[in-house]
Parts: sequence; C-alpha cells; structure tokens
Amino acid sequence: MPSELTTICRAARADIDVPATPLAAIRYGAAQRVAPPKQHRILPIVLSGFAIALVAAAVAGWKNTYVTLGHGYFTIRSQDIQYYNHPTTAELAEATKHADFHVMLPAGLPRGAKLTHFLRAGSSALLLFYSLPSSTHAERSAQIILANPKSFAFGSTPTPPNTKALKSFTGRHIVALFALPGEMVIVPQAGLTTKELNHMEQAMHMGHWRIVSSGGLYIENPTAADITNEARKTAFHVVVPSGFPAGSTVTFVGRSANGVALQYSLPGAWRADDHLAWVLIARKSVADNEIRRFMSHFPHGKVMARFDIGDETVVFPTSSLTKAEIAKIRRSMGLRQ
Amino acid sequence: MPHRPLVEVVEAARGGDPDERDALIEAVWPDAYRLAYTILRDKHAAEDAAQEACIVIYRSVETLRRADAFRTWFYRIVVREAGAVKRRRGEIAEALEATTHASDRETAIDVWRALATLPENLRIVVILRHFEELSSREIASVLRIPDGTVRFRLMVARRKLQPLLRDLWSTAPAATSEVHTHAI
Repeated sequence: MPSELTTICRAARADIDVPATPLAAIRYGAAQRVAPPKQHRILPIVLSGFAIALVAAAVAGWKNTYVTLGHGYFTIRSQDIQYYNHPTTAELAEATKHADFHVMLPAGLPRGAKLTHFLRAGSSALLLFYSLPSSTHAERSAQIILANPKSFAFGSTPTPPNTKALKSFTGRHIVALFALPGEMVIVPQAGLTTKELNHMEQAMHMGHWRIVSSGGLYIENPTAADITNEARKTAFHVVVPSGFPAGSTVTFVGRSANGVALQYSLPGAWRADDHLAWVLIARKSVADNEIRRFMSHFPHGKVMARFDIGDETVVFPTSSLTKAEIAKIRRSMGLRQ
Repeated sequence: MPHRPLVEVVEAARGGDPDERDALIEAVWPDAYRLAYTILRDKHAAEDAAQEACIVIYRSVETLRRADAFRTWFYRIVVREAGAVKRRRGEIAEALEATTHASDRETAIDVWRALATLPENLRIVVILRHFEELSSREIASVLRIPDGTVRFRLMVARRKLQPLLRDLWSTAPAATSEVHTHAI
C-alpha cells in the first residue's frame, strides 16, 4: 500500500502537463548521431552486392569507429586503434585498402611535408601526422583526420557499449572540416596556414564546409540554396528573416537541431566598425537554452530584439541594426509591431 | 488499437522496425518528461532532457539484451540526461532552495519546495521512490549504488520532509491503487 508521501508525490506528478511527443526531432536527433555498434550490422552498411562474401573475410577484425567534434576538440573512439611510427608506404597502403570508405589521401600539402606517423582507428578513420617545412627553427606539424562520414558526428556521443579500447586526442583548434564524396577531411590543428589550407582544398577538390566551432555546421558565404538546405535540416520549421537593409549579404550560416544562426554583413559606411549583425532563429520550445548558448559567444552582447513567429523565436544580439530596420524586418516577416 | 504492455513494445522495438521504435517513444515520452521535469523543475529543460533521453533510447534500444531490463535502463538514461542538462544550465533548483528557509518549516509548503530543500543525493532517491514508484532495489540499479544506501537515504529524506509536509501529510487522500499513470 502506498505511503502518504507517495500519494502526495503521485498527485504532484499527475499534475505535470506533458507536451506532445517531439517524434520528428527525436528521429532526427537519432539519425544525426552515430548508430550504435552492433557488429553483425556493419556489413550491410559498409558493403553491398556481390562483394560482401569476398570482403567480409578482409574486414574481419576491423571494428566500428566514432569520430566526434566538440568544443575545440575531437575524439576518436574505437575498439581497435593501431599506431604506425615512420610508416612504410606499404603500411599506409594496407590501412587505406582495408578502410570502409573511399580514402583520398591529403594532396596539395606544402612541399617537403613528410608523414611521420599515423593511427588507424578501426576501418573508419585514419589520423595522419605530417611534419612541415619551416623557414624558422620552430617545428611545424599538421594533423589530418580522414574518416568515413558514417562514423562522424558533432558534439559528444555516449561511449558505445563494448568499446574496450577508447582513445581520445585533443587539438586546440578545429581549423577546417571538408566533405568529399564518401570521406570527411578534418584538420584539427593550426599547423597549416590559411593559404596552405586553401591550396590543399583546391588540390583535393574539396567542398566548402568549414567549421569554426562545435555543435553544428557553419558555412561561410552561403548561397540562398545553402541557407534553405540548412534550414530544412533542423528539427523545426524555420522562417528565415527577410527585410534586411538592401545590400545586406549573409556571410555565415550555422545550424544545430534546434537553431539556425545567420550573420549578415550590413551596408552603410557609418557601420564601418560594426557592420555585422547576427540573428538566431531557435525552436521555440528550447529557445531559452539555445539563446543562452548563442549569447555566450558575445561576452558583452545583449539581446537587442526578440520576437516569436510560428514555431520559432528570433533573436537579435546588439548590433548596428537600427530600431527602424528591425521594425522593417518584423513587418517583412508578417508580424505586427 | 488495444493497449500493449510496455515489455511487448520494447521487444518489438528491439527488432529495429522504425514504426515500433516510434511506438516505444510515444509510450515512454510522458514518463521521460515527467521524471525530467521532477528533477529539473523547468519545462524547457525537462523537454530538452527528455528529448535527449529519447534520442538515446531510439538509437540504442536494439542493443538492449533483454526487454525486461528496459525499465532500469530507461530511468538511468533519463536521470543521466537530466543531470547533464542541469549541469549545463546551472543549478536551477538551487534558486528554489535558497528561498526555503528554516522559518518555512513552521508552515505548510508544497511538495516541490519541500523537495528542493533536500540535497541532490537525497532528492533523486525520493523522486525515484515516491514519484516514479521504483523499489529500492531498482533505484540502486538505476543509480548504481548499494541497496542499503538507497534505504538509508530514503529514511533520512523522509525525516527531513515530514515536518515540511506536515499539513499535506495529514490531508493526503486515502491511497488508492487505481491512480497509476505510469507507462513504465
């Protein structure tokens, strides 16, 4: 028989209003993260058709791997991490051959770059260490991760069950993240200059994804189609603000499941010192969390304007946008003053 | 459609069918949200935590070895995710605690404020025992602490709560067995 305390607590519990199940967001969130390891399910994911029987023997012993990007760090988790110091060409070729993704080795590195060692994490990631030529006595090096996109996720993922050997490597800065067909290229250490990175990007015909932080994807100088595509990938219906001053251009779009951040470059000579305006579009049900997280990037910034439309909350941190311009944006989005 | 026992829903979801996993999430969402809300006392934070927990469940239910282990697994995930949200947001409940002074003990206060006076380790066992109605053995399994520790903490917590809830305690309706809203 329940105690009096249980009766009181049960009544209090029953009074809690439960919101509707956010099934779409849950499905989306689950799909965004690395699937749980279930060894016998690797094959259907990685292989197909007639090759299964032949390659199954080859991949025996290769395990699932997880590559995650967080705030200024990356983590590689695998049951099987092998280290190769001063690798031979044959060792690198062997690791490449058994990878479960199409490995495209880095190209366009500075002349004189030398592969000093590498790590193979399962069959889904390679972490390559290069020593770079330097005009000074200081040593320069670069780390480059090549990973199967299926093993990759932003943020933190729970430690997969049955992971026996867990290795984690920390880099101070995530410099770049590129997406090639079937391969993610992550450059986590600022060993390469921007010019060298651009050269590498061109040599490998890489896409334009670049990450500057964590928890989402950030695209520089996005096209209208990029913005639309990113908006579609969120867990809610995004109404992109319109009505910005003529001549404004979007210079950045960042996305997480519950928010889209846009950076606008505003026209006007008088704005010379503060010509950038940020806008956060957050899913209303989690807006407070998203806003707090977003505003933490502006140490002295305050929320200049905030309004709700549909399933979203739109937030403008302090910028050189005028009240009249914000009012115009509101009107343009169909909101009354 | 007839209401299926949860263990059957879990068993079906373990098979990997997306529709069955959807059904499982629909079934456990209210419990996940209520538990998260009880811990966090903030609806946005609770929704965040419950959603994160459901993502883990949606993604990992296939790895569950036995359907009857779901209940403990479920509570462990929700408690963990609520803790993570709480750490991220700062101690929400601390603000409530700060408003409950010794003088409050002379008056009747609601169960939420009473709960907020408890330290974290006592609060969570009370929530799992009296809100979620888990046995002390189940709580021990969820929190990964000895059964005896759970019972001791419950005893201490009840002693602390009793004077705060004196009025409610005496006016609580007679316990009936039909009031049961748990899907888990």
